Amino acid sequence: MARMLNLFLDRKTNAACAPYADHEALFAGLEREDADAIRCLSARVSGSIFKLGKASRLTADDIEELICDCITICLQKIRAGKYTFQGFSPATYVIEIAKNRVRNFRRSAVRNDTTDLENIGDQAEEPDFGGLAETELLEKLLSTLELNCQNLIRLKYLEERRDKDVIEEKLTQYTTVDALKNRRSKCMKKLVEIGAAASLYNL
Amino acid sequence: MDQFYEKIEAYLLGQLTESELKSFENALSTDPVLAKSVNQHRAMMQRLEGLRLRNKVKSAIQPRRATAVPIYANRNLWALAASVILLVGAIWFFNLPAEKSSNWVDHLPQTDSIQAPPPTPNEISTPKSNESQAIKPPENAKEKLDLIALAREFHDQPSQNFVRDASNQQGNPAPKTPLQLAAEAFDQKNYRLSAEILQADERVQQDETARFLRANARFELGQFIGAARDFEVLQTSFQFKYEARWNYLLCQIALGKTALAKALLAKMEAEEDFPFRAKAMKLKGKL
Repeated sequence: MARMLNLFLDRKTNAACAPYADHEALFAGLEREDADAIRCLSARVSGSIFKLGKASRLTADDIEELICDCITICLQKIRAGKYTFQGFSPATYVIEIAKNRVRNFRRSAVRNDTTDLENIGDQAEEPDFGGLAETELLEKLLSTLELNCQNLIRLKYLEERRDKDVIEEKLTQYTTVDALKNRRSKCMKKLVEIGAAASLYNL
Repeated sequence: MDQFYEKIEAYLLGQLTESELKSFENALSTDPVLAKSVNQHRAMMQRLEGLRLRNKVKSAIQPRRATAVPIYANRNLWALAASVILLVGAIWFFNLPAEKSSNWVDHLPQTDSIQAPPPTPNEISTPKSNESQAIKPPENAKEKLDLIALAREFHDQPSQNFVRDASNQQGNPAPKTPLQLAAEAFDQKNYRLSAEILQADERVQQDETARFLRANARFELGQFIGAARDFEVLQTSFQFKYEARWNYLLCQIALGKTALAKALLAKMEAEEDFPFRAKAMKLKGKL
């Protein structure tokens, strides 16, 4: 049965899926944020989400963003420990997120009316970060900071570089971890302030 | 109190020592402003995390999108391709009989002596020349094409370094400026897009680099009048004056204004320190 469902959902698989023969392997790959696992997941959900988006009259560009949003949310949930492996395909989870988002997009009053997987529906309803509008605004806010601050925040939060490595590789002007942290905390404070002024936290 | 605000990030990243954590949490419970700031910091970190993951997803799936997207998603593209094929086919179809019929008419006995005088011996030996002359003057057209080819041969394109510098963002996450986008398009030889991005005059009025890019994009597209206008303006520029003068001359050649071009060439030849002097002399020989 699982194989049948798999066949139905995974028609659009590609070479990226080769190392992820089963759901658990794919989930583990997503936990590690492997590019191939993300690509495989994208290939598996694209067809369904395109159909979903077309049915809701979304444009092709919007659908592509929707796919990107949903996979991002899935990765966030995995990282936050809110989505743990329960035996079913991560593709199913992502498609469920897409359904919720499309439903929200249509401003439907009825939610969670079609899902058989109760947990998924609940999890997917939680607030998420990383949507297109929000990330665009955040990029814009980041760009208003001075270049040094942008670099410090980017290295830490977008590239996940360790402070020690940043100092060793001389990626900034700072020579000690303490000086780096001190400056970055000031930069973060500034970013938080401009984020509040731009109503980022209300999105 | 300020010391606590400096430690919010360390607190949220779990980097405080036990004693620091204790005093921070004490302050947190008594200072609502600090608590609010901590919440905002947390929210910002979550959003940065979202941005990081989104970038990761984008970079992972974008190069393979073409294989992942079902074919029906590109229905509009297919429709456009089909329309173009139909259009090309229609043009070919409607041109073909016209050509054949005119040949056929040429071989018919001339019945109207007023409209069709008896052919001269020259016309008899080359029956198609009469038809071609009626549609377009071949010599003139050939000459024009030759001049355009000559202008293109001597065109001084912006260097790749110049174009890449103009498109470079140096890791800046800010949205790209029109100039950067145009330079990127130019670098990819998408001259039409480059020229379209910089189409509005107000975009290039304050920026000589943008105007220079637009002028060259227009030149590549064969929009020699527009290109000449831009190169003419740039002749007063400190950075581009020589290239602008040279390319302006080439625009005049492409536009068939050979007399003006010769005058400009003579002037360039007379200037010993003109960087394109050698080229000018070579071009003069070919013109």
